[in-house]
Amino acid sequence: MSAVVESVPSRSDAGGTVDRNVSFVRRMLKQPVTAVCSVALVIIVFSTVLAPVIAPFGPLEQDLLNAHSGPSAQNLLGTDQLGRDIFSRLLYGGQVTLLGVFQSVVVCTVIGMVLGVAAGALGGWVEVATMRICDILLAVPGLVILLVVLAIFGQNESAAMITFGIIMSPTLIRVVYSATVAVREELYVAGARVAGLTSRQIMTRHLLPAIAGPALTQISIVAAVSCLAGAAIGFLGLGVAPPNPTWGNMVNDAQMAIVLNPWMLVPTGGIIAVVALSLTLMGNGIRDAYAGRSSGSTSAFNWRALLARVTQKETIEPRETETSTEIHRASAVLEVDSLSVALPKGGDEVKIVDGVSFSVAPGESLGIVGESGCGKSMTISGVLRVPPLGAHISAASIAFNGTELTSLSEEGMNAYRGTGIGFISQEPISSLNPAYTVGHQLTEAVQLHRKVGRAHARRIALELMTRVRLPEPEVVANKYPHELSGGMAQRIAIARALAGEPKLLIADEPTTALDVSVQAEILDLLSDLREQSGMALILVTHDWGVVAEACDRAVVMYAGEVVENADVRTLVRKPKHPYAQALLRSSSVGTAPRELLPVIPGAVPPPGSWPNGCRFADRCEFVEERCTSAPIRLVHTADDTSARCVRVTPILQGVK
Amino acid sequence: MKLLLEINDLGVVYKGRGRRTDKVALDGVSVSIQAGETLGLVGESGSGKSTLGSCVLGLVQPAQGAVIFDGQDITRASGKVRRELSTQIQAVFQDPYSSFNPHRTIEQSVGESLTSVPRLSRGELRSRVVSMLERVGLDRTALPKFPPQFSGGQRQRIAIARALLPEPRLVVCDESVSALDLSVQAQVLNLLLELQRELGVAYLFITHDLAVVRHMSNQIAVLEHGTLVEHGDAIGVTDFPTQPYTRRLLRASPQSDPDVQDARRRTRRAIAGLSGASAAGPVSGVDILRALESQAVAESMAETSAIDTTVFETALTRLEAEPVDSARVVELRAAIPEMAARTRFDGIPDSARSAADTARLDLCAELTRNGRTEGFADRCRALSSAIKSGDRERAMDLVAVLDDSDDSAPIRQGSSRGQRE
Repeated sequence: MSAVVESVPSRSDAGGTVDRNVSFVRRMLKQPVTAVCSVALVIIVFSTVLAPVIAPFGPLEQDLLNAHSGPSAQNLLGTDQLGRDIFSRLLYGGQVTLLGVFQSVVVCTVIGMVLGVAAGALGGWVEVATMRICDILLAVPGLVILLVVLAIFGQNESAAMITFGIIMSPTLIRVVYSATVAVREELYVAGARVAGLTSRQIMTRHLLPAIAGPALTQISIVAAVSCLAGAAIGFLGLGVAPPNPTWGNMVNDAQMAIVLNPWMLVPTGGIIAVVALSLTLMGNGIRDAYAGRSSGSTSAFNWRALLARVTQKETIEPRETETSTEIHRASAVLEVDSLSVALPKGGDEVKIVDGVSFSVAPGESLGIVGESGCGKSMTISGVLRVPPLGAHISAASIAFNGTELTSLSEEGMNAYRGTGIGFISQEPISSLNPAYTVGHQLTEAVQLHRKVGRAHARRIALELMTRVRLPEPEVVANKYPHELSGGMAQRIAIARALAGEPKLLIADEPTTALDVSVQAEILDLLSDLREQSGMALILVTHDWGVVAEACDRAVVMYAGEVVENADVRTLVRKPKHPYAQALLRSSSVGTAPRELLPVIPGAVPPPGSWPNGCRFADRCEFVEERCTSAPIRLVHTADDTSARCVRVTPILQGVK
Repeated sequence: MKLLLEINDLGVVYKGRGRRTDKVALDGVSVSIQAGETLGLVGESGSGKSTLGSCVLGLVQPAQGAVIFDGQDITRASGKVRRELSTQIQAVFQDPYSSFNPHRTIEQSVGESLTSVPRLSRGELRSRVVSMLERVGLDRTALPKFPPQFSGGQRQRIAIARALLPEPRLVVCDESVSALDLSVQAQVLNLLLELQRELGVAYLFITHDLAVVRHMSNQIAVLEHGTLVEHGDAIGVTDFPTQPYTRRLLRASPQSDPDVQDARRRTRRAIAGLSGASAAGPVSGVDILRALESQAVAESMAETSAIDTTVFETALTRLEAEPVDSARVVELRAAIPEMAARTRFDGIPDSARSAADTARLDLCAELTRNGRTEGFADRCRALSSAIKSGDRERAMDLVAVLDDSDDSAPIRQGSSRGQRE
């Protein structure tokens, strides 16, 4: 069989690898803040439950002689106006307050989960009805309802807190609902149905784990707010009546004695603050732990990556500047010499792009070809200097129209992005801002690059839209990105790239997401624009058809290196590098129907595990001993043609 | 042979919500698949091809028509019947990233397709999962891992393992290789073909890629806006398409030969120019004719499409045998676009086709009037031998100078310019 075990790339990021098998709870407790909060909450809850055992005094035990005393060995947190021990009262009072929190959380959770999941999973009238109920509940003033309930049930704290849980439920319903809808759309849920799982199995295996994260976060927020609400009820004297303690009416006591004994406010207000804060922070911890479970990282925010970014500018330094002058082609629009891009990994750097050189002449179209993971897109972000956070770019020279880009500051570089060099991406719709009409965005781009007035810019924008052959530019200009088809959005993206009248347009897989007939139109458009304006084009693609259609020259990349650089006709007819040959062969799909295709065994080695010798060696059918011993140099085989293979000369002789 | 899947007059309407109107996704589509064979379903986005797959899988309820699997009507099968069917009908979806629950291990995800099989012990399940994983080129070390630890190609292999684990008789492959790189795509296509040969599974292969569908299918159905526009033998549909939509799709799908691509682009532009939609300005029938002729030669020299020079050769011999008149010259010239499959239909818009025909008549009349038919015939003979000997450059040069005056040497491509107007 043809299938070969592919090497499993270990997935990791700047935050370091994470054992995904570690339980959720352990990952949560690995976060110091969450761990401290959890411990604090556990201690507080247990102490209040065990109040009769722990408390040194009864909650109502008075010692009038010892009123308003500060903390002492006997009264750990001092005493109040009646000489009651504040510590003991806090423990007993916590029973009432925390029970209230528990009641409202349970009510809110039950309502939120049931209605949220039902609305999300069932859709139809259930969805509509639930969402309307949410709207109504959100519109009703919660405090008024609480007061009404308290008036009816007469200082019944439980009734108040249960009502509060209901009042808080719409937010949770919405969170659960949207999480459910998101999962419902996932292919793996469709897959599970195809696999014959029952609804209940889908619910427990796929749905609940996915909504647990956002739901738990929301529930912890509900708990924190309930704690504050319970305290507020007590403070207003509407809950459990004094002299029985609650955290709320203890704050009230403290407030009345604020001049006489300001200390009283510290433990009573403090405990409420600690509980509410702990609950909120725990919510954050739960969210991060869940985010870590799907992304492989423990923290959603990575400080190290941010720090690396700050030093990024300084690390761009021209290297061996003197070598760049000799191969400088005066005519080239863009001349890239030995560009490398490295990303931080652990404490180290891993090269993604390794010493890539190429040049583009005015009006020329250069293809950058290769499989994913070969560094094509990273090369482009290196040239435009928009790499991922923490990346290290180095190059002997990146010359655009005679200007050395590597020596420019970030501001200097900005003057070239868009104006000198235009860029269009693979995802046309997501490259546009959904909040503004496309006409507005185009006008903005024109204003930015051409320094003209708004009305004039609008006119130019409409002209650009005509140039990219959008029918009825006036109509399209008033549309929002989501109202456009992929092909139209890509035309807008091209028009925007043209706003700065660029000398070079870089297109990263511009047609991959489009239908074939639209792809042909877009490629035709790019060719026409090139002919009309003499603009050069760099086209990143993995499709040989696109290369043949739209490029004059092509650079084939493999594992971060250029392995072949040639005129497209020469490259397609007589590829020199075995990788280029094999890649072309595997595009012969359709020529011999239902026969096995010639395949390249194995997979591209991931960055960081590139061999010292030829990087294609372990997949190459011509591999020899000299291939693996030392790095292979890029050999010029003809003017403007080069290949990185030890066999290059013999292959040339063999062909005639 | 017995039909495994029959789809009769299927119609699907997506109900509009709020202000959105209802959308007809499928309208009266009938196709069928024989056991162990592959039906390719092609079309652009919005053609309803995925909806048809979803109907077969029971994920979408059709408004009309029937889905009959192995003689049993499963159009509106109940949950219980569906669960039983899950061992017979499986699916491999497009996106190798969202088709796995990121929170579940490979063992859990792959084993899921055997959930509906009762009384399967944990050990048995594991050994079946392992042998299937090995079959798709992975091994047991994959079991405890999570989907994000695998590349796109590997995940698609795992998805195939999951689909084939219950030994189904039909697998719906919905854009299963579209998200993969060419080389990985070739590996996965080979795997699917091998598994089909070994296990006799049938595929409903849904894709927008004509080359891929031609490679994989016995039969091909072409969908446009929810209706079936062409249906037939795979090679027939891709080499001799009868419907304008299929032809348009074929014309647009790029090929990795720069000469062919150049020629096709010239034809496309000439056709677009005729309707005034090109930036290059107005175009005459002569341009279209010349574009078609050089495309025909380029396509036949690229050796990838179906080439047939017999009509051309016959016309050539007839020209020698009998006294040369204008009709013979026209016949010979008309045989050039007939050489390649693409150019036989590439002039499709009727206006372009008739413009080219008129131009051909005019040019040939001029050749006869000026007594230059002999030179024209010589160049055609040279073209014929260049094509036979595979001398691509000479053939391309020759086809460009068919109308040149007889004494000028037929070498340079641009030398025919003076004759054009």
